[in-house]
Amino acid sequence: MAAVAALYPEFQALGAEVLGISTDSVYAHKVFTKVSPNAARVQYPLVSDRNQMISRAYRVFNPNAGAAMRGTVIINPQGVIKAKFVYPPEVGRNAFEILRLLQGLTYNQETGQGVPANWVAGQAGIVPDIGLIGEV
Amino acid sequence: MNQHQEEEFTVNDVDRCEVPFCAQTNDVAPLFSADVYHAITDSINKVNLVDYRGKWTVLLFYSSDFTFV
Repeated sequence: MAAVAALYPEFQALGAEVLGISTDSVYAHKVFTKVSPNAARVQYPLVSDRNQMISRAYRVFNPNAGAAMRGTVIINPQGVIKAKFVYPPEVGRNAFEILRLLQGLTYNQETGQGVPANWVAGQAGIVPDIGLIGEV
Repeated sequence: MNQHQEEEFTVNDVDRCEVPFCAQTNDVAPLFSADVYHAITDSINKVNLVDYRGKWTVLLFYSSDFTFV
């Protein structure tokens, strides 16, 4: 949450939108952003999934907790899920990886090139070429 | 007779089978409309996911306000 907020300008630079979602009310969301030093840094909108419909539909609802799991979903401009991962409650997200994933997806979209493992923005992609088969 | 049992069941027909929806990569993102709080403008509005078509969108689900998120 706050970790993504810290990188929010870079998400915006990619033209990406961010939505935080929990089963809390919008009233709780408001007070949360007022009293929590971490949440005070959250500039993106906080969605209230009070009837749990969204968390259930995205298959990140934990019925034992009555709340959403720490799920991250990346949706492309056509409305299709391109990536989804669910972290355990014990470990927070890696905002840098979410940003890197988005950078990789947009890089691929713009260049048609593949994005290798551990690629970071600024590095070269892989041009699909039959000559590379068996060579990388 | 279900689709699995049709005579002409080829590799092209597998995707027509009903499988559980898992909201995974390459699945259509279910649209929703919900209340949203925006701290920048201190306002409560409606958000419709369909309005985000044309943009990359990141959904960050978290368990609860006022916890270690």
